Amino acid sequence: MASWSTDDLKAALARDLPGVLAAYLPPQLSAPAEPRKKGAQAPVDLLSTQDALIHPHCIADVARYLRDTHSYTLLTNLTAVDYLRDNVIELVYHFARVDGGVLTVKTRVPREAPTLPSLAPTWPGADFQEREAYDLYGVIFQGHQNLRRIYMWDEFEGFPMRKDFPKQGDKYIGEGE
Amino acid sequence: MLKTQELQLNIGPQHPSTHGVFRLIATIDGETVIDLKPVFGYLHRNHEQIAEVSTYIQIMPFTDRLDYFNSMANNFGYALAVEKLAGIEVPQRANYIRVLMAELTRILNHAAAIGFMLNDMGAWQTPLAFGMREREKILDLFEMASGARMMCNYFRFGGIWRDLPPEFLPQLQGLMQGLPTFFDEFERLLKQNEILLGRSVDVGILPKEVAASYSVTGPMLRASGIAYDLRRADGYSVYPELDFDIPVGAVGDVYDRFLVRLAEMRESYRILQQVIERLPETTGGHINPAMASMNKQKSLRPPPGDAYGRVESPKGELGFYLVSDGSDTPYRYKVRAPSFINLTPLGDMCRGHTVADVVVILGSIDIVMGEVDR
Amino acid sequence: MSTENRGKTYTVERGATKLRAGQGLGTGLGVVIKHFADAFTKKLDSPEKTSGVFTVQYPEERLPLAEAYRNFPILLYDDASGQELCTSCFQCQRICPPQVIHMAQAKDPATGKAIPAVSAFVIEYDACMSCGLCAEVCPFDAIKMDQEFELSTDYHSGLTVDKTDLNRPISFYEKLAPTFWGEVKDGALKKLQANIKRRPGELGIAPQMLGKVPTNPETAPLELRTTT
Ligand code: SF4
Ligand code: SF4
Repeated sequence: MASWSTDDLKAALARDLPGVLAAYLPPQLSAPAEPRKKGAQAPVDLLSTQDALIHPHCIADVARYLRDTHSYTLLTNLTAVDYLRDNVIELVYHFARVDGGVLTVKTRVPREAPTLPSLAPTWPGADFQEREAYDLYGVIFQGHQNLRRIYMWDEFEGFPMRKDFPKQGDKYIGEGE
Repeated sequence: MLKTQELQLNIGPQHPSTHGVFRLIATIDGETVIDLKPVFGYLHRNHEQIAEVSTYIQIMPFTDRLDYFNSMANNFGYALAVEKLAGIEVPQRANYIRVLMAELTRILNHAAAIGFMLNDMGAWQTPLAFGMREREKILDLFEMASGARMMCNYFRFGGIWRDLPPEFLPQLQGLMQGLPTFFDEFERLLKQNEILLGRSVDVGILPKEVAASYSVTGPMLRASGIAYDLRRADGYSVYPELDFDIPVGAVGDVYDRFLVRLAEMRESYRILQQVIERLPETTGGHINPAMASMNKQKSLRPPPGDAYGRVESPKGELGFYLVSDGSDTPYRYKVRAPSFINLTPLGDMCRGHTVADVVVILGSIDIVMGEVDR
Repeated sequence: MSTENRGKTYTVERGATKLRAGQGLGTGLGVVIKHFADAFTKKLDSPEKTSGVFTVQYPEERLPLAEAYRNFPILLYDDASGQELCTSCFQCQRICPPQVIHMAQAKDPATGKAIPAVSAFVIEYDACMSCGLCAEVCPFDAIKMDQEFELSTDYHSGLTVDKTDLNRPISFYEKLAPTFWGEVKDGALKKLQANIKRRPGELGIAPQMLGKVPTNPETAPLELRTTT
């Protein structure tokens, strides 16, 4: 079987798992909360995507479906992206097949309550990656056995990769340093 | 029956066998490990966030420092991801030189990785010296081409920094003459050695299905019997034009990982032969003319969107996930580091083995902390 | 993509995993003994050889450095006129990934306008990562990579290097990297000539050359007094 394109994936999801695909909501681009980066033209709609966008609570079903029915056995990559202006954190999953082909599945959770089911019980490979997403972005993966900080020390406060984490200053080092 | 007590043993963070600043908390019962938790982050520098405030070309030298053994492979992965994001074509000659560098990197990494693994088994320094000798010769070549031995910073978007200097190919050919002798000697020295067999056969077995569910990649996954090689699966760059086989293991133990690495060096040698043969006939310069000036490189503004570019680095799948918002710095930059994810099954592999085996199993994963901690 | 015919998958040969005691050890020792013997007789001087002495007795013996070898950046000035090539265009400062280049642009004392010369230039060698991007980006070929690597010191602040210590004559760099300099020589010198005309007095002359070379008139011709 040839590897899938994004459209194949969306069609298959719509057919076999009705209700998992989330509709893309047009953003409210009226008030950019964050000062624009130098050189960026008009506020870019960062959230528009061609990839399959699913509801966060369905992620385990989709992952299991891709693995068992279509042999996308490797959960290659799992990453979080903070869209501060749109107030969401996007989780991006890459599933790969041994004979080639990688699929992107995205899901979005609100920044204040970034919670979604963990994949670690079925894919132990997601263990460290989910811990990384928790450590740096504060995403809570429900059902993860050991959701602790992985890079920062346990007492660290805040989630350093979030866009609103202060980039200057260090509360652990005094002013004199 | 003697009653024994569980004991928590701390290995590292400063320990010669942990390959860097890496700590293991082992719960042991007598000599048997019953639980093992890796602890890391000592080298964490938030590479990903540094990248978010750097322009695209400024990130290139930072990628060298991820897996400092294979800076060429890291450059390759990052360049590939940006080219995918910005839609930049790479000329054929540049592609061949890239593959040349990537395969040399694979040989030097595996030679050193086997050496370090043998170090961990107690064959202190002798096998490592064999591997390091060949590695030195390859590093000389890197220095000639890129100006640095380890932090090469050789790749640019759309090609490479400079074409190969005239004295490069003769020296490479000399190296190529010596490599088969090196492979044979290395194999004679180690393959049938009783100590290596005793320490590695049936140690740290990672069965096929378990390996897949742990998302491990690279020689580790192949040693478990899954022929997953991105050079074949993705066919990026000019790999579809090159002949090479994929060695896989039968059992998935430490010994298989060692054998797969040996075999991969030979396959890389085959690829190098083909590349050297074709290099004179390749067309296109060393860089896409549209990207040739540094001005273009530094003011690169990919269109908004995201891209996931990945290469088969010697340690496994090295992926770069980039999100662009149309400005000159990435909105999100994520590294899918192979040695980080290959570490996930460590606890499972070590359970039931002795403490001495833990060190060997860790050595067989071939980690580099610069990449694990990022 | 037809990748199937490009190679196969094969299982590595595990060989006998149980051996007669000493058998494999003997084979391995054979290799080691051969290398041990060669270590007294042969010198490993070309890449095709795999046995022999390959230790170099640094610092008495030194390996030749490749032309492309780069370590830390230096600034160039013209041998004859003592004029620095740098025009203070800030390109290198902007591209430097760890941000270790700092500079101040020279001002014409008469008009207060910026002129194409640099009045202060500092590189923090201790944090420079030797990436070479500054040398690559410089449009005036004023900053180049040196090959001096024996810089270890117990005096940390000495690694913040200013213009006087960064300056090297062009002839120095030409010796290091003849082909690299040959590629850019003509363009660089032409740009330098154009810039010299816009530098009044001592501005733009390398500090170590002051007094040895004639200075420009204190005021540059008015029509040239425009900023870059
Ligand atoms: S060294 Fe070159 S790039 Fe840097 S300010 Fe001077 S002229 Fe510009
Ligand atoms: S070599 Fe790289 S790090 Fe060093 S000064 Fe130049 S740009 Fe900066």
